[in-house]
Amino acid sequence: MERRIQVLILVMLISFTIGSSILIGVGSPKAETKGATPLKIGYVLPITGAGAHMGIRGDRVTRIWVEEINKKGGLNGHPVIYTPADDEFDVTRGVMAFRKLETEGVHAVLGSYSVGICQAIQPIAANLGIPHFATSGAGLYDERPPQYKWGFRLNIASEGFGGQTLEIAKLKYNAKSIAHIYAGDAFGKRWIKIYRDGCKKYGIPLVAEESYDPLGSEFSAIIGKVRVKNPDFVEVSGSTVAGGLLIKQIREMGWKVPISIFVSLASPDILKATGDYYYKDPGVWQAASVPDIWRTCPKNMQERMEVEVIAEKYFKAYGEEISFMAALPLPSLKAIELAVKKAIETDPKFLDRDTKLIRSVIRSNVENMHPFWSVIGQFQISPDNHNGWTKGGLIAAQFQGGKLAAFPEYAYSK
Amino acid sequence: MGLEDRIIQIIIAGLTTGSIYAIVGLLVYVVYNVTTVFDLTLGQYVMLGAMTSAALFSRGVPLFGAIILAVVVVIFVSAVLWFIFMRRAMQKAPHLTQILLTVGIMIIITGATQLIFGIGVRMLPPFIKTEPVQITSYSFISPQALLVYATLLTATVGISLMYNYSMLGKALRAIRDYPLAARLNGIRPLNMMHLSYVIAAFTGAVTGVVMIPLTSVSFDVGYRIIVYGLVAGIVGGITRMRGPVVAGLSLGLLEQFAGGFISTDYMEAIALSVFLALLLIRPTGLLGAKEVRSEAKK
Repeated sequence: MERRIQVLILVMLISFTIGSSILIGVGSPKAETKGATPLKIGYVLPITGAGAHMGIRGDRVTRIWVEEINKKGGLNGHPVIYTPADDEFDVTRGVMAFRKLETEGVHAVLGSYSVGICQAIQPIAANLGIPHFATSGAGLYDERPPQYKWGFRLNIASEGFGGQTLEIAKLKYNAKSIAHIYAGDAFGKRWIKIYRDGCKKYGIPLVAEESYDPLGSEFSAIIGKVRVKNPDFVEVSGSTVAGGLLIKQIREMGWKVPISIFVSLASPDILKATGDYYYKDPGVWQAASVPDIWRTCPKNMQERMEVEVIAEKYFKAYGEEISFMAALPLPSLKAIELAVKKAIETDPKFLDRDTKLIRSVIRSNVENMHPFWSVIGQFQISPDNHNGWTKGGLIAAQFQGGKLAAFPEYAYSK
Repeated sequence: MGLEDRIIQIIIAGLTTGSIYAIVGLLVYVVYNVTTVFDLTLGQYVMLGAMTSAALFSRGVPLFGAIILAVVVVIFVSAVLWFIFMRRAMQKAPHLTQILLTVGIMIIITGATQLIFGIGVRMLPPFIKTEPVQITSYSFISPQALLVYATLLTATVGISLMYNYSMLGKALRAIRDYPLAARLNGIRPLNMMHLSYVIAAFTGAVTGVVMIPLTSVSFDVGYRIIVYGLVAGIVGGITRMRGPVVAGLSLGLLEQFAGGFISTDYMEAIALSVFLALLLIRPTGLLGAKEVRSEAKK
């Protein structure tokens, strides 16, 4: 009898797990294809793990983009197939996910949200000849574009985000000294180097720089270490919930210093972790981007027009505003779209050619593309510069009276 | 902010993280001493308690109702897992299989939690909605951190009293120290093992709900929690109850002092290296006694 009950419970558990998997749609979602040869796009991104709050949102936006394209009849009649691959925010898993996409014959790969994973993918993408569009932060191709000619990064340049913070510090607070508390991961370590340069450029001494554990939860020792330097302004950067907890603890320790959060609206989870301080504290700012705050931007603003349709669909589908991290794949997707359209116009049978050739033409067309706008600013890619961002897309923002307000007067312009 | 303020703040931070390590170390001790298995699922009970309470609260269940329900859910889950997997393994499986089984259960709990509660980070509001308590001009302690200390204190005193003064506790000790004699006296080892799991699940769940307003929790934090719990348990000396408590608190303090005065980049590495060195000097742990291997124990 006891054995029977055990078996029954086991069967119930297995059924529940399988049922739940089906209900939440685990697996590779693929767009419906009809007739013409499809364009296959892969995305290495964290669906699980510490970066999942970013990856899952990027995945949603990519699905909406694919749906929109296919609804309109595809790219010059060719449907788009989208295949995500979970990297779990882990370098080894990221490389495995990239290789899996390669074997599935994708024509271009986006991702990941982690600098470490992108750095690991770059040489593999170059060896295999796959155009790779990084959606991570911290100036990935600043130092070595020629070696990685298959890699592109269509994200706001890191000095842009640093500059946005420094604009707020300088113009709003006339800060004479600044401190930076950054995540102790590959992103943070790359990022702090860029920030040091930004401080020099703005003439504001960086009096303290400390890293925190991106998976940690207790930061008062770090805060104390920074506080003794008495900075006029503090920048907190990072892409995990720990950054939000850190801000909460700064305030709980009675420290009223003005703070700017880097890419704060990247994730509602990060904001939630700040407690009420993000929503109610007039000393907490954010270096935001247009997708974070698009409803408050002028209607004729190029980035706003770009994001509007997708943002409305995103809100309808998921009940939350689109954010920078969610919108991040859009510039890369647009570059691929433009490159493929151009190729099909030149050769109508382009997508019927050999996969290697298709990949190579996409790479070449992206590299020689005219300047274009997409949700987070204007991009210009050339053989010498695979960091495409040139200007626009950034904005200073703060919650005021229960609403997010934009402050164009402090916006960074390159 | 003077040196005194900094040291006090570091001690507060160290005791907060250290208390969580110490409680999980204590759970490792409770289960190990009856089963002789290092149970890797214990961190999952902490995570599950936290995630369940936050999920219930977000669906409109009042805070304290959500907490109580979460604890009940964790105990129920641990009981189901015990009857399905562990009970039989404890009777017949080799020691290594038992440990591997806990690895499997750990993965099952993580996966099921992800499926049910999703991948997002969850939080609860602080239980006591007052401003942080000011200790010196620049050092503060949040009331929630005081609750974490209180949880450690209650768990330590409660488990200690149970071991020393209750019949159940004496039965648990008998199984640990003299299993053969205990069996001859009618104490059923499997029941005692299950009891140790219930105590661990209950304490783990309570720890989870108390810590979540401070730390926030996602479905995958259980791995990290159990690593620190095992370090506290093993380095403290798994054979004596005060070992994991002292080691857990020391680990938290050491980590925060390393971060505050040496390097935030290497705070964990420094703390764990010191503990590793201690283990080389005292292989039985800081406060551990040499294990008695007698025929009576078989």
